[in-house]
Amino acid sequence: MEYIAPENELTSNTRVLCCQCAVPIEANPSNMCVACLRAHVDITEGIPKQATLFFCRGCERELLALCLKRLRGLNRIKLVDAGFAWTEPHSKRIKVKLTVQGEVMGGAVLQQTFIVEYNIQHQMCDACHRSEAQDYWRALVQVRQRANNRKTFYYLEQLILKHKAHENTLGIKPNHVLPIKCSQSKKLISHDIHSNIYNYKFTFCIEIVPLSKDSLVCLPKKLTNQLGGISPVCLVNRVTICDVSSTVYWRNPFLPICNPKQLVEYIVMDIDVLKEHEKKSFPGQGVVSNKHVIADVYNLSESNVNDDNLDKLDTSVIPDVFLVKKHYGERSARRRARTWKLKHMAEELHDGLSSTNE
Amino acid sequence: MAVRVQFENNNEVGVFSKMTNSYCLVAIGGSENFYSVFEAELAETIPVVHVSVGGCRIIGRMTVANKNGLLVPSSTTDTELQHIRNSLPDTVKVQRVEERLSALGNVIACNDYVALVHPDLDRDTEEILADTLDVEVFRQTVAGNVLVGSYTALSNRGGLVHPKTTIQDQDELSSLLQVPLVAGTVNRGSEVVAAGMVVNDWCAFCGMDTTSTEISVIESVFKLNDAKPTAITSTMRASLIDSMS
Repeated sequence: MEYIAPENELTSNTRVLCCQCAVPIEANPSNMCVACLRAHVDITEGIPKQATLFFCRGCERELLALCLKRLRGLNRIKLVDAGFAWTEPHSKRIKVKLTVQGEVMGGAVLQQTFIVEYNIQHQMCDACHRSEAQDYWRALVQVRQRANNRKTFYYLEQLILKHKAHENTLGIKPNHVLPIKCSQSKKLISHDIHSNIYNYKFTFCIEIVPLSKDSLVCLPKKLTNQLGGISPVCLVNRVTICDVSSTVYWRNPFLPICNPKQLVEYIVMDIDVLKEHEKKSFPGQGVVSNKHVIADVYNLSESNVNDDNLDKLDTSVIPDVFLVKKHYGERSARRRARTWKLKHMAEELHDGLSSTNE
Repeated sequence: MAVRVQFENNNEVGVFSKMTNSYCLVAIGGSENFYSVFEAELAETIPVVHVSVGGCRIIGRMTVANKNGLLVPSSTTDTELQHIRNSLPDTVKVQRVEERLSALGNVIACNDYVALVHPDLDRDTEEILADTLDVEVFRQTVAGNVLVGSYTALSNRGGLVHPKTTIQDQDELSSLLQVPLVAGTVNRGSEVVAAGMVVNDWCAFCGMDTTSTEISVIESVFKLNDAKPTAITSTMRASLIDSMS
């Protein structure tokens, strides 16, 4: 076997003289040798070789990206490489070494390396300036519910997470679309008499009704009349705005007499089948269960209740026991069965926040 | 002798002029500078004539010429044709051709004996070309370009072709033309050599941007140096060496 050299590989390449220095070169679009081309055209023309960098001490920034952003004219050419060159630590100078490629004179690509020197000037950015002046929040919203479980707050937390409302806030503190009472106060921070601009800090206080699902309430007499004479002792089916609106509620506020924590587990031992006409019905009774095996029940006769409205009622009307719902067994077992993990806002926010939040 | 010249700040002098061994055509410009340069160089030997073709100044690209004749495109008006006939020597045949590729200077490159033409040129035009200019016609391309007239500058003594022309192509073309060829540029690296210069057997004009390297290439391939160093090194060399030894 013999090695056969590829034919006509070199003969097809014509050599012409470089039009500047007469060195024989292969013909290229500019017909100049690399050295002449480099001397003749400067692809970094138009890119400033010195720039001023305003730097905020309070902010952490991507320094190289910041440096490159300061340079105009970089979009005309292709940036191949960028890196820092060493400078004296306290000189307030940064040197960035850039390698760029540019197309010159009809298609020839030229690569060039150059150094840009930055002069650092310290300047505080607007956000840091406000935080330094202890003046960086405009509105504070307090959400309060005077209840002994925090269900509503967990629900609120999930709502805030869902709408990504927490991303624009400075901080959320759990002091722990609902019927609410809202009060607003404002504090004048500064004002400009010439342009009539007032700078206020707003505080919103939002109070949520102290009821939760499955809690037992005793309605005031006026309200029972208003709602068509329903039984005064009621079970809260849902906390939302429908029959009892927030204005109606805050006009005649009522408190829960029993909370879900007081539920007692009962076991149904025997069932008497009632015929349809024997079933008792009363106003506002809701759906009647027919398959409770184990049930959660409020034992009203044994619990100690302080409620004005309940005291006014005739004790013979009040049943001893309120059947609430079917009991589904251990809570921990149910929680384990849940396949997703609830997101929580407080921990992710409070890790990054310091005590300067006030 | 190669001269640098500019037409109204434009270096593409081959576009605005046409030079042969028996006459020279120059476009009508705003000033007489361009004309004066040609006049100063050529007035003693050949007529230098102001010409327009179809009202255009780009006469170098529109016409094809040698010492025997001149072809003009169909856009040429009768008055212009009459003016050309009146101004040129009687021996020069002037002919108007109906050709689809009307920029005749771009599609035809010729000296006084041979013409290279665009492969798609009309048969009739080829015949008229052969009769009027008294040349042998070859259909060719230069470095893959069909516009042979743009990428080839020819005289009876040499030729300059597109810088990317391969050695084989150069050999083939020079065997057709029977003159030495070289690949080169004008106007600081421009590859449209015919647009950047005009040449005849003793004189060349090229754009103002042309570098000294390019000038020296042009002068050597077209043998424009009056000093004729070749005579010293060839015919006189033997006797010189004999006398010195």
